[in-house]
Amino acid sequence: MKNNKKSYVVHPLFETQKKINPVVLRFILSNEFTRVDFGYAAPWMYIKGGWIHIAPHAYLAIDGSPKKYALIHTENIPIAPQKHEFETTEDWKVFSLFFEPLPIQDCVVNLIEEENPSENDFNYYALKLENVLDVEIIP
Amino acid sequence: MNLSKSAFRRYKVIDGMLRNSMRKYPTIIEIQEACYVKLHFRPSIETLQKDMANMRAPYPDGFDAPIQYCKINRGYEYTDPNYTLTGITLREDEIDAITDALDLIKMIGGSRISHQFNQTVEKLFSFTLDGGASLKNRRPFVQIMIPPVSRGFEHFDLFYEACKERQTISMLHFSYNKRTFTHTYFHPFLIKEFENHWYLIGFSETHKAIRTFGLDRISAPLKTKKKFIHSELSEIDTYLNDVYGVFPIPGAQKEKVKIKASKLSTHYFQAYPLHESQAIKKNPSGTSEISFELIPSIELAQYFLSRGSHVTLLSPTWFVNFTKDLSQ
Repeated sequence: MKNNKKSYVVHPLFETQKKINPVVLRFILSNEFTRVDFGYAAPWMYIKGGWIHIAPHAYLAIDGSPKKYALIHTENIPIAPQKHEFETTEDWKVFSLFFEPLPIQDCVVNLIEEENPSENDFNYYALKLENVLDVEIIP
Repeated sequence: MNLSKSAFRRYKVIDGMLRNSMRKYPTIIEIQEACYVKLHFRPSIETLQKDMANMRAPYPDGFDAPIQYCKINRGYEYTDPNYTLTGITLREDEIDAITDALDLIKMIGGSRISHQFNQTVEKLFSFTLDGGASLKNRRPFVQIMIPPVSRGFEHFDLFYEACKERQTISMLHFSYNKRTFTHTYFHPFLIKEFENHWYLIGFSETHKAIRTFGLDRISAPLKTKKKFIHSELSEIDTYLNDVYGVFPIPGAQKEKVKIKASKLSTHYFQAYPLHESQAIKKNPSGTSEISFELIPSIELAQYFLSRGSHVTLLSPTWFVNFTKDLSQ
């Protein structure tokens, strides 16, 4: 298929990014996966910075569509029940979640870790992916 | 051509023997002996005959070497006296000089530059007559402090290529001070090392200005086909020549910076100039006034502060005040 190997960087747009830790930094769209890159700074509210993980049932969905794009792989963050324990409140981490591939087109995406989330869950809504073909990655 | 390194080293010895105008027409026994002297092992006669047959073979299987046995002189020769195996005629002392230079490059910077650079140096070693003395085997005669590999340095090759090929990078950055992350498209033009810390300098689309980022704070860089934004040559020159360190003070221009140095500090400034623009005006007592023509930077202020009472910053006034504030 033409363009099969191409992948694209997309800087997501938000009305406001309510959840700023972790912060969604970048999407990478390809026909093999959709990768979402995050940055996480260990918060001061926990003595040693607390811990993080991602639920195995996390998924992406295009706003208004019932189709779910399942989590298939992670980098730099364990899948629950495993945890990454921080050592200090100064620690930080960049991590990536890989999902089944979204269509490579402009869309509005929700990232859902829990259907009924607490404030600690990694749920993000209305991430706008625009001009998705503008920035092609050099393999 | 599937050519082993040891075979090529024998070819080099044979080539050197056949080009030796002081001792023409070497016999196979003499070539064998030369291999023993230079390579520290004695290949069989059959091996050397095969080597010469391989060298005679046309390119790309061989080297098109015009080797023949001269019955009159009972030895081997090149029928074309201008032929050399590698196309470059080098004397042994020249090869030694290149080997020493490669060795020095390796000691000074090779091991912390890039894997590809090291491979290239290794390849160059294999092309010298002293090919056995590879990077692994040579005992260093120069040692400099080489710190352990730092975070972010694994992306050095990618940054180098991006600078060279003028490719835009998509990268994630963490600010230690603000404890915030950003994704930015970056248009790099320079990788700079300062006090064993590595930095990438270029145009940041996020900041809409030239910025310096520590490699240790950059994550997941990707080269992209996004149109590259070229920085002005004059700005690049500034970063190359007019800044001590990597973080020029925002808004600062190139100007004369003057300090007063103690007797002890004067010795050190004389021995280790801080910048090529350094000019020392010595007093009879041994103290001095030293001036520099550069863009004041945070590192320059920190350097002066680190000298304590041995250095007094005299001008410009704004930089004197900036440095005072930095110390508080």
